[in-house]
Amino acid sequence: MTHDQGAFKVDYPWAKIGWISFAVIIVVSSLLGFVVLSRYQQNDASLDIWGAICRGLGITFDSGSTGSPQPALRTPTNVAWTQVTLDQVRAGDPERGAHVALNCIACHEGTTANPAHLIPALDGMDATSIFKQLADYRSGKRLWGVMDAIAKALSIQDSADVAAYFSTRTGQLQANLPERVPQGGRAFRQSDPAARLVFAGDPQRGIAPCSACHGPGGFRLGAPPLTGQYAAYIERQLGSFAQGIRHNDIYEQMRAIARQLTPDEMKALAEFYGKRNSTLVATE
Amino acid sequence: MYNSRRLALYHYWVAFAVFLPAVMLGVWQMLMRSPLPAPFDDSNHYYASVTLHGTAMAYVITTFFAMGFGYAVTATSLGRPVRGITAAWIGFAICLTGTLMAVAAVLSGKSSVLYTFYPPLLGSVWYYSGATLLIGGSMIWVVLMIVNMAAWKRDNPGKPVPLAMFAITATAVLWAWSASGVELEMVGIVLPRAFGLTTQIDAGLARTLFSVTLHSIVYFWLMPAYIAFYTLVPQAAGGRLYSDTMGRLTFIMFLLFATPVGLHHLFADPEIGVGFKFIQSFLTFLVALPTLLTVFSICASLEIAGRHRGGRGLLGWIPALPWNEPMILAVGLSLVMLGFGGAGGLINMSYDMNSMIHNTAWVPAHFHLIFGGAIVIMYFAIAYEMWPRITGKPLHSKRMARWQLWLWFVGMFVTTIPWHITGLMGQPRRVAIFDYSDPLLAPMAPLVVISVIGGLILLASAILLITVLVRSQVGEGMLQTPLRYALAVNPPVRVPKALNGFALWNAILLMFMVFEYGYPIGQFFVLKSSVPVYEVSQQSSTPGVR
Amino acid sequence: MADTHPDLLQRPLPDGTVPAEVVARTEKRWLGVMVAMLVVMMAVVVLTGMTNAIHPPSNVETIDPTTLHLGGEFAESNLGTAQERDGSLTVRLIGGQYGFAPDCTKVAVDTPVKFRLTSTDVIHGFLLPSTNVNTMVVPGFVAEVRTQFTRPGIYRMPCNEFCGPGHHGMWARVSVVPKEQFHSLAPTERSSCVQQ
Repeated sequence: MTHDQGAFKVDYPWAKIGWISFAVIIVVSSLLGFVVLSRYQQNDASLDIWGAICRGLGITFDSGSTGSPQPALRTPTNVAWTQVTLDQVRAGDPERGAHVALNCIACHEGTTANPAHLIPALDGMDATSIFKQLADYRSGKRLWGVMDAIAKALSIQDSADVAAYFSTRTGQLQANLPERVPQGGRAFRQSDPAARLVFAGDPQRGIAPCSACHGPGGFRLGAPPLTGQYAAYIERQLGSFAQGIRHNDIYEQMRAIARQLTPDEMKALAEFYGKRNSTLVATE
Repeated sequence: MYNSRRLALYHYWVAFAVFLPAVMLGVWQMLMRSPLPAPFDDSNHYYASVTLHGTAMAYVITTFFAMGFGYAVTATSLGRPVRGITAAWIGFAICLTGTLMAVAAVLSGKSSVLYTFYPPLLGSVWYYSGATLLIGGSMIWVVLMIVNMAAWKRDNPGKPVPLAMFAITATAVLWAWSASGVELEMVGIVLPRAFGLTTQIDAGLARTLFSVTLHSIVYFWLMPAYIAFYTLVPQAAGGRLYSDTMGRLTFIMFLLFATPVGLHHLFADPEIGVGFKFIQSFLTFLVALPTLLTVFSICASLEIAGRHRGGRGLLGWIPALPWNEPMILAVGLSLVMLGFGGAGGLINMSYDMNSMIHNTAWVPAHFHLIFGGAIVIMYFAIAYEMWPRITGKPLHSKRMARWQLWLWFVGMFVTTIPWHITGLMGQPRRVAIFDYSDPLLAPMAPLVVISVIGGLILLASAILLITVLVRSQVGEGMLQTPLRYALAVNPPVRVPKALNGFALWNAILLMFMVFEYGYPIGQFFVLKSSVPVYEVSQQSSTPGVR
Repeated sequence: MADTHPDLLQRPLPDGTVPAEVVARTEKRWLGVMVAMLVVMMAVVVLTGMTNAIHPPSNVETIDPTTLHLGGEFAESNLGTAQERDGSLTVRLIGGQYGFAPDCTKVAVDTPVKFRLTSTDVIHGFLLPSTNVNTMVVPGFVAEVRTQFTRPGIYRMPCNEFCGPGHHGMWARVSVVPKEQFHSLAPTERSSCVQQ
C-alpha cells in the first residue's frame, strides 16, 4: 500500500473537482467584481446592479463633455498630425520645391538679407516642421510680418514641395546625425548649464531635455532639429514663447518651458545649438 | 545523460554567457540613476541598457536555461535518449539567431523600447523579429517535451510519469499558453507595423495581449526552480519528498492559474473595466496557493532528511542538514527571498493596493527579489548539479560555490530593500537620471546609493559563478554518479490519468481564458482605438529623404 | 551530491517513513490554513472596496489622439481645473512627450477631484506619490482617476511609464491649496497655476 490514502486520496474524481472549482471561481469572482464591488463609486452615488455591471465592463463611462459649458475655443494651430496631413507632407516633391524655393533662399540661405540671423536656416530642416510653420503662417496662428503674405501665396502642395526640398539639402543644420561614440557628461552633474538643460533638462521646473525632441539623439514630430541653427533666431523664439507672443506650439509645450527659463539660460542654449563645431556633433 | 549532454551544455552556456554582461549593465544602470557619478552618463545609453538587460534576463537566459534543463531532465528522469534531437538543435539555432538579432538591434541604439516594448512606441524591426524568433523557436522545445512524455507513457502504460518529467512538461505547456500573448501581439500588431504593412496600431489591445504573457512568463521562469525543490533538493539532503501527489498538484495549479491572471498588470490602465480587473485579481490569489503549498512540502521533506541525519528537537533538524551542499544552501536562501518577494507580490495583486506601488521603484525591487533572487539562485544550484554530470568533471570548488550563493543572497537584499522603500516614497521607475536636489527625491538618495553597493556585491557573485563553471569545465575528469531524483516518502504505484497528463487541465484552462480574456480582448474589435506609432529612433519625419 | 556522505547512499531511507495518512492529513491541514489566509486577504480587499470605494480606474472611453487640440474636451482652452455644479473639481490634463499640460494644476483640499487625462502620442504614466492617483495614460483612451486631497501642499507629478528618450524630464506638479485660497470658478472658467 504505497499510494496516498485516507483524507487525501489520489483517486479523487479530479475532473469533477476541476470543473466544479472552475465554475465556483468564475461565479464568485464575477459576482464580487461586477455586482458587488463596481457598485461603489468614489465621490458618486452607488450604482444599481445593471449600472454596476456596465461600469465593471467599462461600457458606461464618465464622458467629459456632458453638456458642461466650455470656454471659448482657442487652438494653437490648425495642423494635426493625422494620416492625411502626414501623407500631404510625404507627397512633397523636392524638384518642384526647388522652383518654389527660389523665393525663399534669398532670406533663408543668404546672409545679406539676414545679417542679424533672426531668419532661420532651413537647409536640412525636417520637412514636417517647415510644413507646419507655413500652415500656421497661412492661418494666422503664427505672425511674422512678411511670412504671413508669403505663406498665403503658397498652396498646401507648394508647402509640401518646398519642405521636401529644404529637407534634402545638406547645409548648416546638422540635423540628427547618429552618434557613433558613447557620450558622457549628459546628466545632472554636468556643470555647463546649457549642456545640462539640453541633455538632462530640469525636472523641478518641468523642463524636459531639449535633445529629446530637438536633438542630438532625439526627435519629435513637429519639433525642428536645432543643431547648427542660428543662435540669435533660437534666442528670439524662446523669448517669444516665454511672453506668449508666439503661441502656435501644441499644448503650450514650448511656452511652458520657455516661461521657466531665465534670459541667461536662453542665451546659453541658443549658443549651444548654434555652434557648428560643438562637441555634440558626431565625428563622421 | 544519454544524448542530452551537449544539448544541455550549449543551452546553459548561451544563458550564462549572456548573464554576466547583463549583470554588468545592471550595475551601470544603478550607478546612472543614483546620485553617484557614472561613466558614459547619457540617458540614451541608459534606456538602451535597460532594454538589453531586460531582454537578456527576461527572455534570453530564462528561455535557454529552461530548454537546456528540460532536455537534461528528459534524458535523466526517463532514463533514455531524448527523441527528436535534430529538431532540438534546429530550435537552438533559431533561438540563438533571434537572440543575436535582438541584441544587435538594441546595441545599435535604434531599439530602446525596453523589454516590454509597449506600443505605440516602436523600435527596430530587427528587435521584434529577433524576439519573435527566440520565443517562437522555443516552441520546438515545447513540442519535444510533450512528445517525449507521451512516448514514454506509451512505452510504460499505467505507470506514473516521473515527477521531474511531469513537471518540466507542465512548464513547457504553460510556456506555450503564456507565449501566445506576446506572439499574437508581435505577429498581429507590432511586426505588421514595423514592416510598414499597417499605419496604425491599437495600444490597448497590444498591452492586453502582452499581459497574457507578462505574468505567466514568471511561472515559466519559476517552475525549473520548483522542479529542483521537489526532485533535487530532498535527494541532496539525503531524504525523501514529502508528497509526490502534492508535487503534481502544484504544477497543475501553476498551469491552471498562471495565465488567466495577467490583467493584474493592467490595474492602472484605462482600457479595462474594474470587473475583469477584480476577477483576475481573485485568480491571482489562487496562484499564490501552489507556492504556499510548496513551502510546506519542501520544509517537510527537509525535516525528514534532517531527522534522518540525527537532528533532534523541534528545530534540531535544521542545523543537521548538509548546509555545505550548494543545493541545500541555495534552497534555504531561496525560501527566505521567496518569503519577502512573495509578500510583495501579494500586495501588487491586491486590486486597490496596487495603486500605491504601480510603476514605482517598488516594482523592479519586487521582481529582482523574487525572480533575480529566489528563482535565479536555484538556477545556479541546478547548474552546480548539472555541470559535473554533463562534463564528467567534479565541481571546481563547493566552497567557492557557497560563497557565490551567499554573495548573491546578501547582494540581492542590499539591492532590493532600499528600492522597495524608495518605491513606497514615490520614486518612478524606468527613469535614467534623477535630480536629487528635488525635495521629493532628496531623502531617497542614500537609499539608492545603498542599492548600488548591493549591485556591486551581485556583480562579484556573478563573476564567481562564471569562474566556478569555467573552471569546472576544464578541470580533471572523474567518474560521476548519475543524477538521481528524489523518491517520495510513499512512492506512487499508479496515479490517475488526471495527475499523469494535461488534457483535463488544458481544457479547464481554455475555459478560464475564454471567460477571463474573451471580453477584455474582444472589446478592442469594437472600440475604435487605433493610434499612430512613434519610432523611438526616428531621426526625421521624412526618412529616406534626409 | 555525488561525492558527499557515501554513508547516506548506503542506507537510503526506506519507503513509508511517514505513513500516507499522516502525509495526507498534514497537507490538507496546511492547505486549509493557506486558503483561510488567502480568503482573509481577499475579504480585506473586497470590504475596503465596498466601504471606502477604493478601486482601480474603470472608465473605458476612446478618443482620437491626433486631433485633440483642434477642439472637444481636450482643447487647449478647456484644460486645467473646472468646477462642477456640485462643487467637485474636474481636472483635464494632456500628457505628451515630454510634459504635461498644464504643467501646474491647482485644486482645493478636501474636495472631490476627478482627473481626466489622455495622451497625444505614446503611453505615459500619471503618479502623485502619497495619494491613490496612479494611472496609465494610453493614447486612444481617456484615463480617469478620482481622489480627494486631505493635505495642502505641492505634489510632484512624474511620468512613471517609459515614453522615450526624454522620459526622465517629464515632471509636473499639483498645487493643493486650502479652500479659502481656491476661488470658485464660473462654469466656463478654467484655472491652473501655470505662470503667465
